[in-house]
Amino acid sequence: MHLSARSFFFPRFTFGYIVRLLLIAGLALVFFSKICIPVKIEGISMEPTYHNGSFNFCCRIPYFFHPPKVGDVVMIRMSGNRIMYMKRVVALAGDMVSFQNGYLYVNGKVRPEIYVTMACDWNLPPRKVKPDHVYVVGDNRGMPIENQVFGQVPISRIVGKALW
Amino acid sequence: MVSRKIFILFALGLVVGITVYIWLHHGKNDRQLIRGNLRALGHVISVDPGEPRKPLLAKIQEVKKLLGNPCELSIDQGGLSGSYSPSEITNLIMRFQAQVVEARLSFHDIKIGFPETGMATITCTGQLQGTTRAHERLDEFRELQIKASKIDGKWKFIRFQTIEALEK
Repeated sequence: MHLSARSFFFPRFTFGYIVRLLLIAGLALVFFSKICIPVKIEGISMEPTYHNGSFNFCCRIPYFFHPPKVGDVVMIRMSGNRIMYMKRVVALAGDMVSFQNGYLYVNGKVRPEIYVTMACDWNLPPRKVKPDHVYVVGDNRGMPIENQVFGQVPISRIVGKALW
Repeated sequence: MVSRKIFILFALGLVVGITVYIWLHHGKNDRQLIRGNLRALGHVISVDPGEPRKPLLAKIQEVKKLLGNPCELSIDQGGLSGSYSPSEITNLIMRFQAQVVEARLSFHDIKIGFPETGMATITCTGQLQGTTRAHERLDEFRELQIKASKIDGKWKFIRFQTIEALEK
C-alpha cells in the first residue's frame, strides 16, 4: 500500500480515520494516566541517583504481579498521584530497622547500600516495620536526618516503580 | 451510508458537548464552591516577589471570610495545634509572610466528600513553594485533611490537619 507524503501529513478525515484517532488518543490517555505516569523529579532527597529536575515514569505494571522488593525505587502517593514521594525500599514488613553512625541496620545486620555515596551520621533507634508496610528512605544521606522525609508506609500508598 | 455514519458521529459529539456544558455550567455546586475557597485561601497566603505591603494586608483580611470561628489547626510543622480565631490565624499568616520573599500555596488532588448535610471533608495535597528572607528555598508538601461547614449559606473551613504519609 502506497502512502504519499501528502496523505500522511494532510489525511482525509473519514469516519474510520476519526475512530482510529479517538481510539489511539483514548489508549494513550489511559496508558499515561493509569499505567505509566510521567513524573518530574523535584528535590534532592534521591541524589545522586536521581537529580532535581530530571524526568522519569512511575510504572505500575510490576506491582500488578508482586509487592515492592528491597532496593526498588517507588513512588508514594499523598492524596492523589499528582504529587508523590520518590523513595527507595530498604526493609519489608516485620523487619527491624535502625541507623547507627550513618549505617543502615536491618534485623541487626548492616545492609550494604551501593547507591549511598554521601557521608552520613544518622542515628535512629530500632523499630519494627508494621504488617502491610515497607520502610523507605531517600538515597541522599548527606541531608540532616530531620530534613529527610522517610519511614514506614502502607503498601497501599505505593503507586508504582521508577521506570529507570 | 457515509452520511449516516457522519450523522451518528455528529449526534454523539452533540450529546458529549451538551453533557460537558451542563457539567461545567449548571450552577455552582458545593464542590465547586469549596474548590473556589481553597483557591482563594492559596491566593491569600501566597506572596508574589516584591508585592507591596498595603495591598498584601488588605488581601490577608479576606482570609476571615473563609474560616469558621473557631478554626482548629493540627499542623505538625510549626507546632500549630488547637483552636484559633480567624484573627489569630490572620496574625499567623502575616508573621509567615513577613519571613518570605515569595511564597506560593496551592492545593492538588482535591477530594471532597459530604458525610452529612452542611458538612464537608476535603483530602488534598498542599504544596508550599518559595524563598525565605534568609535565602532558604521552601518546597514543602503535605497531605491535608480539611473540614468545612456551611455557615450562613457559605462554606467555611473549620479544621486543618496534616497527615503523615511516612512514619519514622
